[in-house]
Amino acid sequence: MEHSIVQLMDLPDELIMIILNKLDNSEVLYSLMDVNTRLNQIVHDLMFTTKITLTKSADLMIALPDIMLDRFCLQILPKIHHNIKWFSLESSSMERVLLAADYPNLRQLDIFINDQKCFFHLTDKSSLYHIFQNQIVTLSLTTKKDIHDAITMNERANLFSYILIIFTNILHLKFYESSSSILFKEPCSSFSSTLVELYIDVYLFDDCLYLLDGRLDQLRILFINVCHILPLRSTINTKNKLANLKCFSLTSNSETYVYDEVIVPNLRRMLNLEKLSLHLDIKCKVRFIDGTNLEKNIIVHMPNLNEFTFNIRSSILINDQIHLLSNEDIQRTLTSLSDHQVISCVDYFPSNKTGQCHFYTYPHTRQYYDNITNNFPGGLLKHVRIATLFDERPFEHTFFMQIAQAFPFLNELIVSNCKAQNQKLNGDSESFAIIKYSHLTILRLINIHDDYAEEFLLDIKTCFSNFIFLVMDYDKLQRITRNFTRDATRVNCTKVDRFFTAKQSNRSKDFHVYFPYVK
Amino acid sequence: MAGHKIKLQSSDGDTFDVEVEIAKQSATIKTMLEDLGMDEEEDVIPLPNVNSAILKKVIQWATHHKDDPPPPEDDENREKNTNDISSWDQDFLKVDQGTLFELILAANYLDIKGLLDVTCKTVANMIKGKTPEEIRRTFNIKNDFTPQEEEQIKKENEWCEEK
Repeated sequence: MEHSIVQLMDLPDELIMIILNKLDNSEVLYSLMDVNTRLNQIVHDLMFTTKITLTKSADLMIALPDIMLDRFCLQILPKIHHNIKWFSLESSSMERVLLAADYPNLRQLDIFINDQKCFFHLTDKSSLYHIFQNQIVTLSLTTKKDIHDAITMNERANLFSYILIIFTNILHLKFYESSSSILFKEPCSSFSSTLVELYIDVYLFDDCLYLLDGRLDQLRILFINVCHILPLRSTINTKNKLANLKCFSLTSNSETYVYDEVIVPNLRRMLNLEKLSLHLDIKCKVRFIDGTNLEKNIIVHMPNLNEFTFNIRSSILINDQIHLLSNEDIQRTLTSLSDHQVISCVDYFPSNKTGQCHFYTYPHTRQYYDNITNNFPGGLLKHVRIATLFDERPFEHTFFMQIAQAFPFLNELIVSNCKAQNQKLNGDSESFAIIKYSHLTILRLINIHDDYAEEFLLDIKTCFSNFIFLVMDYDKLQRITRNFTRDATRVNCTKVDRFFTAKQSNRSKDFHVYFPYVK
Repeated sequence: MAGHKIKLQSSDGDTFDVEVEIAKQSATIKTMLEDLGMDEEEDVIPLPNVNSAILKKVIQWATHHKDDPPPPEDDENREKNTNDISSWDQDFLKVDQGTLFELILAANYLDIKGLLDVTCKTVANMIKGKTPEEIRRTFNIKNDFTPQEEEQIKKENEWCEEK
């Protein structure tokens, strides 16, 4: 083919815009501002200058290299400052960026806190008060996981209070959207007469009720993750109606046994709710939570409710007196509950003397999926990152295939099953379809039959794309790998870079040869 | 109809026999076939904006991708992810810049979403991380600022260079 003479600048603006749309705005501005007059006009477009992210796109917690930050602060931001409405910044460069120019139209800040010192001094920055106080209406704070773990729940609560004091025009706040929770020792002392929307993680349900006791009198939308839902402290006022709230989402990943005593009465206080989302694990006394229960205890008390999504797993102890409901019985109670499709699954575990009923509106939006059994109804669950598998019937290879397909973005898998598989290999050379876990990084094999260690360690059954943190019994591992000599498990064991076992054990020399990446 | 073919004519007069299902990856050709009822083997579809060499490449791309599922709906994360170009497409696009830009023009004219996406991502990857001076050199772009504008930009640059 003869070489063509068409060049980048021969393309019409419309096509150059399509190319630039494949890049982050900061990449566009860094590379193309001040190249020539036409590109300057294109990159000044609001499409590239309204929202600016000045962190590494691969990891929002990491600052840009100094040379890039210099170019932004000295050459780029002063030229587009009027257009900028939204900054995403990491905490160590935030002050420099915000003081590099005047941003009269700046309204939204996403701050990624990657340093403990920055966390404590976030609200000390008097040079930025004029922006915090007068301009910011939407604020999102996310803390790096290891920094977050070093900060106490009280210190987080204090920062939350300071934010309400300093950001006097704030309407929307996302506080620790990806990390752990805060705990108010007592009702927090700060108020906001502007805040309309709040996303927050708290330690106890009491903290949720503190937030709803009138101090945030404009609050209409609350998305809250609660670590534990326990009996309430006596000082909590649960009398007044929460009439302002229009949208409420409650998520708790720990099992609660106070659904009837704490959750139901407080939901009933939200009598003007239009949207409700419940994601709960509930321990019940006699009967599973079903659609009739939700209808009678919650929905009937919310006349304006027009959208209800849920993901509820309830468990009971079973005995001879209890009538065991089937999945069809549960499904019948759920049909009229939501405009969404509702998936349900009922399991009984005779040895454990327990039963569980899990139902959710589809699509499933939780990151966790607990106690998956052989009755797993399938589907595509793209949000799930952590799943636990448990049953008193064996999990065959085809079941794991179904799991890998249903949870394509699974990071952590926990398996408990003491029953031997029925479909076994007659020798290491026999073949099964290999299951690939593309995103798995943590595998916990707790209380398992040896077959499940083989299921994951035999390279003719399983393939790991990433290095794996393996948690399992050392003796079992030694047995499955035939004292760290078996060829059929060698490939997958070289993909293990961390190993933890509950019982203390002296690891043999052979272990370290067999697991070359485990320190 | 499997195997049914149509003729595509390039701007320089060459014609290519192409299976209808392959040609229909182009929304432009698909509309022509449907609106004008051009489904006879002897019908020739003129493509005055695409020369023979580029049309040949476009047909090669469309043939390779004929069984691809329909592209997902617009999604900002997918749009901004320029690392998802398949190795076949990467090899296919190891061409001179002129051919790459002509493929972009052809993909746009023929309205082939997948080809436009992958060619634009390839150019985006050529831009990523480069300084303005490197961009000028890579894409042969003339610096057309006035002497005053140039002086101002230099002044801004000085501070960085001193560091």
